[in-house]
Amino acid sequence: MPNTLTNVQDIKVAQRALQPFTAALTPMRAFSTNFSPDPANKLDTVRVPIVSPPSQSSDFAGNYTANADSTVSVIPVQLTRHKFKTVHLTAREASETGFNVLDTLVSAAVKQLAQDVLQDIFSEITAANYGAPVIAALAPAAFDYKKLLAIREACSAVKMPVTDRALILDGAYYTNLLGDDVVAKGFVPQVVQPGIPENGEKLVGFAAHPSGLAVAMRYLVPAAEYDEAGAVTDPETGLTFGYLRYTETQSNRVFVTVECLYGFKTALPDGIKRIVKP
Amino acid sequence: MKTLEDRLATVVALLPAQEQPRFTAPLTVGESADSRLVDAVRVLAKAEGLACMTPGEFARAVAQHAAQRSMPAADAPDTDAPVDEDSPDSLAARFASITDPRAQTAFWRSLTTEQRAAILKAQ
Repeated sequence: MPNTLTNVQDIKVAQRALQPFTAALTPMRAFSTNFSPDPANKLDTVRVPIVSPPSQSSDFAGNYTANADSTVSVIPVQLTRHKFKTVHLTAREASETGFNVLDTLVSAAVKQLAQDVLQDIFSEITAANYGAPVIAALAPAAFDYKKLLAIREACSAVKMPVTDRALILDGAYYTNLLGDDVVAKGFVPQVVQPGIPENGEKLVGFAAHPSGLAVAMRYLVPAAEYDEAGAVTDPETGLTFGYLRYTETQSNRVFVTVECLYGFKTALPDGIKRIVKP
Repeated sequence: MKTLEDRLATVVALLPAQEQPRFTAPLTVGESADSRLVDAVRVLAKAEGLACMTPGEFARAVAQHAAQRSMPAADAPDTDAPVDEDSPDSLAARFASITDPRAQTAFWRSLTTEQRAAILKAQ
């Protein structure tokens, strides 16, 4: 059974929605991932490769295989999560609207779905999984470049590689950081993520390396017959959501459901350093 | 080391008997042992059934061959017309043949706004 959409109207709606979906899930780049539109069922297991920091280079002594690293390990991640959002359109709504309202509805639903998925994944970032906060709890107004340097130092202390490091912050902390003269005049790359879940531990951000968290995503093949069903995927990242369209003839409504099948698992505890508020 | 004359004598000895006298006659004005050797080799090749032509002979042979093989231009029927790969029907057919979601996204992104509109209109 092919897992692609066949109706061009649906493809247009889905492709338009794919952009906010991938944009909202940009912070996923901070983690190790295995995303694909390949079909899978809930509770299936996906192997996510984790690349650990390499050891130091060796001086050549006649053999290239000496001190070979074995730094790629694999973490099995079970696809335990299945989130969806459904939107619907009545005949009256369709006729009273000049533009294609379904495009807008589905795009908004997919964006919300992505944000909910991200929040769910962030729920894994707890003290039990990653230990004590990297710096003392602080309010947004106290988050300046000196605190950023302290986080950097703590990351280096646990040998977190500089490359691929990411800093994900709550909006208020990021805003205060941008107001700092040193940061504002410099080029410090950050990823802002308003709405980080506190996880009951006052989480407001974290520094991360891909080795800290493994995330997997697949396409859940529907069991029932739908007017249209298929996977919508970003070829570069593999980020995928499922698209289902069906009609309810009694009420003359069209429904579109977007869904996401995924799972996540803690990898190396030193791969993520938490930031908390008082 | 063999001289040109020796080589010419060797080749002439291999020629059919009726061809030999003109290569054993004294050299005429404007003729050299070198040019006579080239002619003798060419005659030998023809005698052996090989196509060995001067550039002029070759050009004439090609022209004659082409004239025999060529056909008058005829209007091709519509069914044989080349397929317009950018036509809405063709693009829609290519969409229908895609079974990989990655390829579908890549193909959609490769289309211009006009092509997308044309496909949607066609469907």
